[in-house]
Amino acid sequence: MLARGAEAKVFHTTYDGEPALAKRRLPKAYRLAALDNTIRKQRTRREAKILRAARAAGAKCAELLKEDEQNCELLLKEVEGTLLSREKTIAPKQAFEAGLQLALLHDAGIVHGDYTTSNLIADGNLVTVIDFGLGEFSNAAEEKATDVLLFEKSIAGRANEPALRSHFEKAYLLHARNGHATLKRVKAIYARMRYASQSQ
Amino acid sequence: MKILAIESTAHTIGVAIIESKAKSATAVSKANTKVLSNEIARYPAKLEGFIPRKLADHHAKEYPRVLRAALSKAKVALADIDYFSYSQGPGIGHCLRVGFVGARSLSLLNGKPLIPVNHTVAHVEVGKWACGCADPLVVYVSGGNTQILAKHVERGANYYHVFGETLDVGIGNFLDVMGRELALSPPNAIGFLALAEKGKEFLQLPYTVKGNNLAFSGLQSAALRLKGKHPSADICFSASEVAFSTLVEATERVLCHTGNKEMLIVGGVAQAKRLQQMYSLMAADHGVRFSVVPPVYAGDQAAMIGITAVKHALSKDIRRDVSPNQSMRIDSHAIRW
Ligand SMILES: Nc1ncnc2c1ncn2[C@@H]1O[C@H](COP(=O)(O)OP(=O)(O)O)[C@@H](O)[C@H]1O
Ligand SMILES: [Fe+2]
Ligand SMILES: [Mg+2]
Repeated sequence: MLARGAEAKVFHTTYDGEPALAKRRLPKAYRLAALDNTIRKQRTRREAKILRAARAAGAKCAELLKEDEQNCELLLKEVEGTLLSREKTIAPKQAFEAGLQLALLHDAGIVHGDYTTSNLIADGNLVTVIDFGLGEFSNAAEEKATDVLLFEKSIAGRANEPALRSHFEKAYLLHARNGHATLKRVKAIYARMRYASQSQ
Repeated sequence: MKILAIESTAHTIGVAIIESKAKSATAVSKANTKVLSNEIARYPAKLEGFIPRKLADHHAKEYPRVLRAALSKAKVALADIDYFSYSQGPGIGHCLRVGFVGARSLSLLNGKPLIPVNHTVAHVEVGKWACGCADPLVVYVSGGNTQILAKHVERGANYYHVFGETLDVGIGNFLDVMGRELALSPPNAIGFLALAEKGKEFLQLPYTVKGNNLAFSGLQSAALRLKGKHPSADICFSASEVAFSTLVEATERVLCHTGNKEMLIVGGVAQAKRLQQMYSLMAADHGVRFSVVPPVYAGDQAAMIGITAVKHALSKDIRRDVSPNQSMRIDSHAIRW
């Protein structure tokens, strides 16, 4: 096994004689089987569909080689690099790249759903997006804002958090069609979360 | 040291007396820190929900009786108390004032310091104390709160960092609204969870996980649309399966990120048996030690405020600003232990 995420286990394998990765969504014992099967299949199907659309839109993401919905498995090309969450320090340029990639996705009508540093692979200043299992085709401001929020929460506490945040937002504003509206919505969600925590 | 603690953030007024022989905040344990008494009076669940003013009236009326009971049960006189403490927030403004005025006047009259305690931090600390956890991933599930948090170093200081939380309503509120709207008995989370155990058919409902975060209002409206079309038991069963599964999944996502070796659930909803079962399965899968706060310390009570106040006193961390703070968050201030 190469890696284990929260949902999937990832194994080395081959496809057409070439090295490849198998991402398999294994059953969760805590979920009712009826619910579990629906979710795993739905996410596998959705991830495949979104990966194709994201690549078509020019976003940097893993190449999909094969889809096997019955077994909840996708075959992917391995992406070179390190998970951004595992980097000791994240460079502002990498945050800028993360903002740019998110803008490309959003402009293609794709929200990622789990846009954190654990789902971004960095190779120098190049950033590749993985793990579209929670993704959706949507242009809703709320959904887009949630992607921004998730990224920002995932860099919280890092020594250079303000610089990372500003580079990320700058790239997003520069490239996303409705960037301003989305960032405004992010502020609204922060405010709502504060409200929720006080209204016991 | 002996500490008198008051809790009054929401539906419960409570007074507890704690005695601690711990030498330092990190050494606080069940062996050296005892709850001598932990008295509460709870505003009863009503169909119309909670009205802040009525809650506060209830607390003001019950406070003297609860205070006397706590002192006599502990066999402690006010003169023996070294610190007074109270739940500073978050909570309902009217309710917070009752505890604040009570604790402040006791502190002034007896010439002993007043320690304001963050209510959410207290839920976490009492769980750690009762279950003997050192550095757990904590799931705090109560009426208005659904937070997945862990100790995290930020700019040189420790914080309880919230890695995931609800983006709309708290899971307890969701369960309460379901119980009320379906007119169950009692018309709240307890009625809802009891009926959920009798459900047979699983009905598909929206399953919302946004990264590490959650949202329950979509599930709530979809589930209530089924009212009258399916047996209430099936609605409760399906809605609780979905709500709890999303919560456990979000927790699992955080766990994969933080790598904590212990997991602890605290707050009123931690008592839900099905939720505990799901968490123990998930924890076993990750080789993590799993604990649930004992029922007496799950809901709101004052012992948790007192245990936390012991840690504040031992680490000489007493906030100057003692007035109530309705919107205090768990990550509003650093943790000095
Ligand atoms: N295409 C890929 N190239 C390289 N590593 C990958 C790739 N896809 C997944 N991984 C690795 O596997 C882990 C889990 O995969 P991911 O798609 O994020 O699933 P999960 O939903 O379980 O988080 C990732 O964190 C990463 O380390
Ligand atoms: Fe509480
Ligand atoms: Mg992932």
